[in-house]
Amino acid sequence: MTLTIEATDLSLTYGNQHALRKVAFRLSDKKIYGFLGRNGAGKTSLLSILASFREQTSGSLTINGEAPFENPNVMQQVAFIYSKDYKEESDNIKEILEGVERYRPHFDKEYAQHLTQKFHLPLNKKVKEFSKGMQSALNVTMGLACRAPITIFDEAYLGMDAPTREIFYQELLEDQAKHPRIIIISTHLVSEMDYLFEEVLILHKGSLVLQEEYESLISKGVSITGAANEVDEFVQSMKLLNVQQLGNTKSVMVYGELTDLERKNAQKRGLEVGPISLQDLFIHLTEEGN
Amino acid sequence: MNQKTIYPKVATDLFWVQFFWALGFLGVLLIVQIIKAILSITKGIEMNDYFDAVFIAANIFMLVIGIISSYGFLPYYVRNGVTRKDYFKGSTIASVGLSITIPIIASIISVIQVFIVNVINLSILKDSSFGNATGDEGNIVAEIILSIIFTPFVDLQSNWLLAIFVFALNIFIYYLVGWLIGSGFYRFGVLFGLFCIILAFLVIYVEDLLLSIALDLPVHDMFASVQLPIYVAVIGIFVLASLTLWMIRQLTKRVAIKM
Repeated sequence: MTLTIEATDLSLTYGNQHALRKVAFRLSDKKIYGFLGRNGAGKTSLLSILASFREQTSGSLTINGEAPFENPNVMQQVAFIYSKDYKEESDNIKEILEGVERYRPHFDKEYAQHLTQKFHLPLNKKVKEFSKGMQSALNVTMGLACRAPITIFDEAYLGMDAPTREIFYQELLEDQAKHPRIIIISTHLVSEMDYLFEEVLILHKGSLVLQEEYESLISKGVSITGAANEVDEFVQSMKLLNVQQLGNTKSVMVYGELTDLERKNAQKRGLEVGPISLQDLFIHLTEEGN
Repeated sequence: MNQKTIYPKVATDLFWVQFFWALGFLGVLLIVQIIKAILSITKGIEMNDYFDAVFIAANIFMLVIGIISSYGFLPYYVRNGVTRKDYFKGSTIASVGLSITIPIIASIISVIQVFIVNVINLSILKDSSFGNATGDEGNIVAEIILSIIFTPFVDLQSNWLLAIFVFALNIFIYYLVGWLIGSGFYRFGVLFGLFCIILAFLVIYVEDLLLSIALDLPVHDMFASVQLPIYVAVIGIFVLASLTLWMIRQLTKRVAIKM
């Protein structure tokens, strides 16, 4: 059964500070959603409402029509994985995973063991003695192995080194292929993780800037590469996102799709037209002043 | 999406975790007791029964694990998809279980201790001052403090059932006030937490008073003429416990989980 998450006019304030302003979206497919936003954009606030860690100030958020907060049927379906601090945790991994197993109906113990091996996590060491990266690997292990129909990873990779993050991404894709569910990944490591996302939501200053399929999103802009003077002339009236120059070769990211005429024109000038990266688009959409 | 009720599972798990902590605590006290026994035999120093020793220390133990409950267990369970309500129910049941188990274990060890002392005819001096402490006449602050240190006590050998019951009731209240203090700090921070500590003192004082009157123990002059049958005092204490539980529930019902 596929769950549907629906937010309408969702707002959250801390005192005078607006963390979320009338956010609205709908997630109804079992796929990997990327939640992007700069520091303080409201990602964690939004996800913690989804995970029943807190209540919104106004508006509604429902999962299959039910509000998640204090709803036992819904809360069991949602796993919220974040960079949790384990400095007080004297249990070892085995004990911690046993605890998760008792409360998560879809937990796969063997898969959890497979992940602990992949991440080289020591089974008998106290978790408080783990490095930050190892603790994050443990969080990710719990998140993947509990196979909750809605699994949220909120910057869960913090402290992991690059190879460990790569294992996380690979395992995520493989397990998602075998056991599809709604996976929400919040991050600002956009360039590294963009290939994971099937759909992207960008939050900026508490508001939702866009929700779009990854493929259609990256076709929202193009990169133009070629001789500097040709490029300059070509992009004259366009909205530039990013400019890089090496010698006489210039590469410019522009926002907006090219018309057929423009494409032909670019070809004529010997310019190379390529796709834009999500990272550039993200930076553009969340720039100061936007 | 319907799940079966989850709070009995929470209650069982919380009971066992805290029970093992309690075993550690009882073990340490047993070692202290053995050392005291050796000193008593060799140097003639007075000592209490094990039951009495646990009775004094268990208050603080329960207070501390009550505080831990709100800071450690509440976020743990919510993270695992358990509602605050199920955690509350489970934790309440577990703390009742623990409050009954500790005095039972303490009395069993105490009986064994007395048995051993009698069988091998050890010359141990029993502390005669225990259980008879009263505050300075008329000084309410001294009385409140004393009520924390010396709670109404029934000797195990005079009426074991009542002794266990009073013990259980007493440590249960301590667990609850610890939980109340922890919840106060967790929800509203330091100032409200400090207010909860004052509230906790009050709860302890009233419980103490009710129990003392019912057991015919010395109380403050103001209440000296009050006569209460034991069942009225017990009902009073249950009302007090319910009130404390109600406050804890109000504090934790919609609390945001710290990350």
